[in-house]
Amino acid sequence: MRNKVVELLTKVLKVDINDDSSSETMPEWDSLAHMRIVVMIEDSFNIEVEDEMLPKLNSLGSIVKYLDNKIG
Amino acid sequence: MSTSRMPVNNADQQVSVLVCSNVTLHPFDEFLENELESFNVKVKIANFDNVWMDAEVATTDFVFIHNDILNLTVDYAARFTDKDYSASLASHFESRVSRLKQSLQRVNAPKIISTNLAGTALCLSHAHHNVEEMCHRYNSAIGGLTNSVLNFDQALADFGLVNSLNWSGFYRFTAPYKHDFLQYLAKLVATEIKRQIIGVKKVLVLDCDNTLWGGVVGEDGAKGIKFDDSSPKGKCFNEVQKLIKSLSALGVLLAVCSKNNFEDAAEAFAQEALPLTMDSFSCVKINWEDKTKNIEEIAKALNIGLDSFVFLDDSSFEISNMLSRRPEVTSLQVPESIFSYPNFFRNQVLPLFNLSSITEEDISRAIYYNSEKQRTNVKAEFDSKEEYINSLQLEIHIKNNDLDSVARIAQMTNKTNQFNLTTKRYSEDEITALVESNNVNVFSGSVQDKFGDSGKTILVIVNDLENKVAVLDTFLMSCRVIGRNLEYAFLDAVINDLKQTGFEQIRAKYVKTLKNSQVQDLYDRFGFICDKETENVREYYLNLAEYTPKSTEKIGIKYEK
Repeated sequence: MRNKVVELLTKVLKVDINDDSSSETMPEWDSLAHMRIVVMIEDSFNIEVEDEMLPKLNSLGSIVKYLDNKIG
Repeated sequence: MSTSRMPVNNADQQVSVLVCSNVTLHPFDEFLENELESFNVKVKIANFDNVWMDAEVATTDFVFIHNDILNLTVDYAARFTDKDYSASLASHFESRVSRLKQSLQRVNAPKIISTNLAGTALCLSHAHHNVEEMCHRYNSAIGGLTNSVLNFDQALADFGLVNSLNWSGFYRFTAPYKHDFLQYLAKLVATEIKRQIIGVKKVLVLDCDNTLWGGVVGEDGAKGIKFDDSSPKGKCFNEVQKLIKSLSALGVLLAVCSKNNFEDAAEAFAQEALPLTMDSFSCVKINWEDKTKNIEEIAKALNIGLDSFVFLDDSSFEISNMLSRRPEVTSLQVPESIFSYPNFFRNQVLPLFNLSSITEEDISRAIYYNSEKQRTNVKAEFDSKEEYINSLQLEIHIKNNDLDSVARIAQMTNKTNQFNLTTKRYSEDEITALVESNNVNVFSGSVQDKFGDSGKTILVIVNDLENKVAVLDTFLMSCRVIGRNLEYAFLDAVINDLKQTGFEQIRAKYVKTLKNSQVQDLYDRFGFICDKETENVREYYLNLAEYTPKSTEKIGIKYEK
């Protein structure tokens, strides 16, 4: 799961992703990028992200954790 | 192959595209750049609140406009059954489009590519007539703005609404499309941009067996091949032949390139029920030679570059052979299932040719090529080229700022590749602006000789600069009159005119492309002096006082101010 998310984030953000990667640490992770990340998560895992989760999916860790709970 | 990846337009130039849409299209910009990787394209997505304003002031080479019906206004999707509201919105868009049209009446205005407005996403089951009316009015307006309107209904239909729309994306981010669909849309837009950069195709080269008719004429005999309504597959070939015939009526040149015994194929073509005959083709190569060799001979006979060629064949061997050895030719394979062949032809082959802006010259082009055959025969009788040219009784009729020929002039700038010094492409609106401008002279020449009229085929656009210096913005000559030294007589006349108007110096430029190497030293031949040279651009000047006419043959000039 982690690998898949890293791959996805790299594709959108075009920089190296590590455990600290989040919208707070990276200038590339702006609101447009965030939109694309959410859309890609929904597309690739065929799920619908809950509204209240939207702002929380702002780091590698939180996305992996969310997906593990949801479909893992 | 490195050559096929190089842009055919000005080699050192970047092409810029501004995307104006009323919905969020990211990452469409990346998709489009990937699709156009070989062209050095920069794509920018404008803010979606300002579609029309951004398009009006765009300084890019292309503007892509896409409006989705879901987000026309804040609440159109909720109020589409309200007839009056629909109608007032339609009027609003009509006036926006006409404002944009006005703002584009300027030199160097971007080329507009747009989608049509599709109602499908709003009311799939019962296409409400308000929406249809709205779309119709919008699309009529936008259709008058540009020649390249992409059929968005068709794109949605190809992909399916379920696979295209992302409703959560729409309500959260105003981003209604799935990425796969955006990728597909990028492909469509890229195809159109490529078409405009490279220029449209001019020649369709066709195989015979299982491409023009079903079966193999060498084995099944002329009576055994399928091309008419008596069999289901025959219907398909019949339809394709009629489509090919309609292309020819629009000025596309046809050629045959087939491995067959000539007599067998001739017998097949001689049958009355066959829509196409041998005479439909400007060049016929029916033999057992390699097809890449044949197609080169066709290119030579028609004097048209291979990258203006489309090659259609049913054999995967022939297609891959052509693709690998002549990559500049657009090679397409007839689909395996013949029943999808007519649809394939309509959607994949027809769009490669320019069907939107047909001029009178297009329709009579085949006639020019026939008189060219006669000229070639006569040429052999003379010892020197000068003697031959004098015998033709050539005459150039020059017009300055001819408003009646705007369509043809714009077309020449878009189609001419070989004898073209700067390869600048202009739309009809741009040419109109140039013709009407006080600071620009557009000299166009029609050529005739004793074998016939070759039509408007030479063009020089001159920009006036300060201090009595004129700039040759464009100098081009259609390939069908190349080789008769007309360029000397024509430029002599233009220079003479400029001299009389009071100009003292001319500046000119040669901008290298993949196709125009035959004129790389043209200005040197005229005695211009090169004062700046980079890899792809050579700049020249000429002092008019020192100029002596260069034309040595008997070529009559008729000049109309």
